[in-house]
Amino acid sequence: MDDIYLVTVVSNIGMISFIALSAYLLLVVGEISFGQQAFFAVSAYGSGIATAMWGWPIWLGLLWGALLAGAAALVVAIPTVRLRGLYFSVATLAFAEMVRLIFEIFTYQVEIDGELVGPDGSDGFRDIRAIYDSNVSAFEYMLIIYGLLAVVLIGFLILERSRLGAIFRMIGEDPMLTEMQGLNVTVYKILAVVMAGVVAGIGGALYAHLATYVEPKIFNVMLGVHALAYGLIGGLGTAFGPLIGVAIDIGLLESIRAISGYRMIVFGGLVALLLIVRPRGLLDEAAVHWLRGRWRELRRATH
Amino acid sequence: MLRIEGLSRSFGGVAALEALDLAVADGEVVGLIGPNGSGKTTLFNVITGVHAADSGRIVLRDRDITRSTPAGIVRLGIARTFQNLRIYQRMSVRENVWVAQHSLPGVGLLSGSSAAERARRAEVDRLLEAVGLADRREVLAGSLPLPDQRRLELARALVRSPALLLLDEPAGGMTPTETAEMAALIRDFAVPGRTCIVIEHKLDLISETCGRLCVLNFGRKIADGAPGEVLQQADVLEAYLGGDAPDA
Amino acid sequence: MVDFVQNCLDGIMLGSSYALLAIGFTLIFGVMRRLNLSYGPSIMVGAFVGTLVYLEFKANALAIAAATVVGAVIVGIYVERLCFRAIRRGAAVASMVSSFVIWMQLEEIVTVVFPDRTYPFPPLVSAAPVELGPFFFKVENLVMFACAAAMTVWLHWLLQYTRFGLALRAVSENPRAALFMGINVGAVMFLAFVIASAFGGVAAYLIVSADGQITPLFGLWATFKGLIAMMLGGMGSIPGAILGGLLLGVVEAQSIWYLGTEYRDLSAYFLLFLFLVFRPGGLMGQLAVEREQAAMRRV
Repeated sequence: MDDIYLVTVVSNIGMISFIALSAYLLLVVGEISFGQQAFFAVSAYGSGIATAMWGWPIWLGLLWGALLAGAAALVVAIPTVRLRGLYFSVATLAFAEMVRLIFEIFTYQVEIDGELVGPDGSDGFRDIRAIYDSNVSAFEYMLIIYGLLAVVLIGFLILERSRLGAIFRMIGEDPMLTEMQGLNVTVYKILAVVMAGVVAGIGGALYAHLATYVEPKIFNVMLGVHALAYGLIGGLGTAFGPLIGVAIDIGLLESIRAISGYRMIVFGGLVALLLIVRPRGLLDEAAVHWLRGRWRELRRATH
Repeated sequence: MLRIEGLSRSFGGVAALEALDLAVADGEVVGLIGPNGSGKTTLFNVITGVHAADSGRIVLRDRDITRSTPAGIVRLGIARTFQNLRIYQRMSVRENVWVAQHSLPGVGLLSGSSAAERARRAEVDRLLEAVGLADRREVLAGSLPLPDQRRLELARALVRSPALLLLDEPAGGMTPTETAEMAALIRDFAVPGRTCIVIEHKLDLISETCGRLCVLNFGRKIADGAPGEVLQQADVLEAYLGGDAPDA
Repeated sequence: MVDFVQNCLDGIMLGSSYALLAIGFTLIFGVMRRLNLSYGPSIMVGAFVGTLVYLEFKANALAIAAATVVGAVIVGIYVERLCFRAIRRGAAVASMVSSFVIWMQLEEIVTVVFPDRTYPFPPLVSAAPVELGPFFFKVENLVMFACAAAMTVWLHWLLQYTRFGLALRAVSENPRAALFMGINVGAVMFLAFVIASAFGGVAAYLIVSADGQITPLFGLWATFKGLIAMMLGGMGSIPGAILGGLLLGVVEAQSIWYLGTEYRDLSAYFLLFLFLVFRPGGLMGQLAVEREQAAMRRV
């Protein structure tokens, strides 16, 4: 029993990490998005429809969900990417709420084995049973989640060392100066929004198949704000930052029984205090830079 | 090389540049002086596409760049530094120079350790060596003292091997010793083989580096010629006496 | 045609509550240049303090209103200290996120202290709707509309004709310059925050008493409606807040009538999205946006 509980908590940490990484990528390019939950939702519904209603295999459903989320991100990015700061944030918020409200009225059902399957407005979307039908155990599914998370994380780490990663950071610091290094800031920002959409989409598709049931109100703005807060707690200097944020919130606070009823009170206060001391999180750029320096010295000393 | 014809730009009714004509030949180094607010930095901003021109034309090697984007202009071979320094403070010194190569032709976004990329990284190190920042290349750029930040900007501008280099007060805020070092660096390292416009209040640096001097006042060119002659002109002296002292 | 006009009238009445919310929002933004997302939850806490006073002491309307305002102001001060004053200048984003997490904190505190979720709130007036030809007006909406108008006039007087208003405008225009003029910028910002919270308290009282009940969800509702109304009108503009609120009300009333209740919020967000894309400065603030963009490009 406890094992199942543990597997579920650990799986949840894995899934929420995707949306945290997604919000983090936009923080790196200097934009706050309150709306990454929209891409999570689009993919959750899209992949659920693909596997439960069209009978697609799981892997194809996941891929389809992630691509759909990327496409949705492209649609938002093109008109909003030239908005700066606050305006962009509110636009993402408006978009995400629009998506949620559309799923509140979106109904698309077909009859499978004498039962109606598919999204039914605010009643949600039941019986996304692909992983149970193909006899994947909860533990195996957890491994799938972490396998994909590892792939995405390695992608982020490669990105951070690449020129593209540097371009994202440049835009985050000074878009005008970056334009004057001969780079088309708009194009790179659209690219960042789409990449972030795909990453959130992977998480959404995984979520729908673990929970087997999704409803619009799961994808409210609180999910997006949590995703954002994780990056800001953990730090914007490295992709490990948002994962540390997730671990602190779910791993640490969830496990301390004494504060279970007051988790949001403690978490909210903690984040607010942290933002005063370290506005760019625990592992901010300076901290990461310092750690890299120590690491280099260490390697030199051992060689 | 660069030809500016009848260039005008105003901000809220105040003319920052008024029907300015300026031609710079290949390999020429032009000093640009004038009191504060005379339009020097505005000229750089209009050339590099930060501000649009109200009227007039900017032609770089027979190519009209008046309506080009800042990114497009940089790719055509113009690089600049900034009067109020602009560096990526949260990146290391080495990264600040490295990032300027991103938009050079043939640079891949992910090319990790190809031979070409190694050569480009070596070029970054060579430039940092030349401007005297080699020993601090892993330091976060935001923590450098001001004169070193100016050197860093110079290295960043040079890493693209620009045909036209625009330097905006390269010795601003420097002590006389540092100014002399910067003048030598510009004369011996930055300028040879390329065309250059230098905005500077410090006449020592101008006379050390420039073969020609151009004076702006209220957005108009009031003098243009060899430095020695220009500085004798009555209206130049008046412009300066009426405004800030030349070495302010 | 009668339907359409009645919808517009309903919308204006509905919109006056949005306008009330947007005024406080825009006042904070105008001075701080930062978004206080905790605004709705703060005044929600104020309304719960009002409920508490009502349930415990059977207090009269005035005492309940006073308790609501005091509660909103106290929470407002907490938010100002934690999310705005303590975070250094230039970190506007950190402030915004900070105010968002404090929102969640406030909501959780209220659900812990008031576990029943829905609590009664006494109405200010209970009278039959006023009939005017073929059109109907609810009395509580008329009161709201009158209060919004009165508060706007008072705010206009405060900003334009008092020394404090002058200081506030100076800070809003350029905090650095104001500092050099010897204005105590911190104190001005603090006072603006208190005034905005008090306005929010009044708005909360009027809206909640018209509804007859209060739930913790009021915080989210107030933040979103106030935010949308403010952005439609133009951030930082007080006439814009009023216009934005009324526009939002009319659009919502029309979409309820012609499309159905489930389209009410959807059309509000859609309108906001369209405004952001095509006219980010809103009805009244386009100039400010252009100025901001120009400042961004200055090298």
